[in-house]
Amino acid sequence: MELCAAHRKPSLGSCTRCGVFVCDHCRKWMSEKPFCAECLRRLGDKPSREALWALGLATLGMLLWFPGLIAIPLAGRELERIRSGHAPEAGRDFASLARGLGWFEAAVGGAAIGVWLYRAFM
Amino acid sequence: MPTQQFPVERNGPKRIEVSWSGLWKDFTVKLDGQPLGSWTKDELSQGKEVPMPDGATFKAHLRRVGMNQELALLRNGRALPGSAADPVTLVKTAGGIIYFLGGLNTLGGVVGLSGVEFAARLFGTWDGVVVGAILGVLGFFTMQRSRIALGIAMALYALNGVMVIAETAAANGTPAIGGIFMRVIFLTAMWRGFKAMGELNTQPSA
Repeated sequence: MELCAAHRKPSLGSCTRCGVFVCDHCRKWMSEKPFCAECLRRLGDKPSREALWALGLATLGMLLWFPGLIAIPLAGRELERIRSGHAPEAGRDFASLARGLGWFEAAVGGAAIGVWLYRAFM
Repeated sequence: MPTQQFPVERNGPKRIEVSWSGLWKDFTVKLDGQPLGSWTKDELSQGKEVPMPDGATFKAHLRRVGMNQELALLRNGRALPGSAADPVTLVKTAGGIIYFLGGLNTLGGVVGLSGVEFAARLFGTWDGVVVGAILGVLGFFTMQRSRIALGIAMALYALNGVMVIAETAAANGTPAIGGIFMRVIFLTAMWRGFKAMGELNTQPSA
């Protein structure tokens, strides 16, 4: 039976990031996958800078429109990083909200531009 | 038959499944697919506890919070991550409401700008867009657990509600009951987020 190196207790699986055996004492979770405490500490428990930037740009897009469009791919990329275990889970809500808000702004702004163009040229 | 799944530990696999039928009838809880317990509607209203295989206690309680009902799912007295009573969920909901209100104002402002008179009267034009953006900024900081931002958003929203009622009364009109009802529900959710922030700020790992 494999033992956890830190606590010498029976392993419940291995860390998704570094592969070290983890026991019920040191097993942590992210995106429903097991991680060791050290890897999770390295990733941090705060949203990443990218997640904050994505939501910040989407928020700015409520006034200036264009930053909201940049937020969509940025948030999508961050969600992918979270899914693959390369960015902290804490950023998920930020990135999801940024993506949703970005699409909302794209739709509202796109419709407004469409109306403006229609009035200008028709 | 409504079914919801929750993790036992934050960000962990969703091991707990709750399901019920109709108005909280046949409420059952499963852990890893195995039945953990079942609750009658009365037991759910009073809050019944059952033991878990790891020695912890699980409690399901259908309680009244303001004008809403809330299904509290507690393990050893702490809300399951992602459940209605979870402080992280409450803060996220408060932030989401502020963004929703901001988005509504922005949308109204843009529609008003495009010449729709009804929207222009209700939300304004550029002023609606600016109010939406201000609410967005407050939502951004609320998501980062700023009690100041959430407090300002609550105060602005409550003040705006009072002004709308006063204006309607001054014009000898009757305030829209539906609008007041929605405001109370949103303000209650924001207030719960405000309280939850205090709880979360004392436990940084949550």
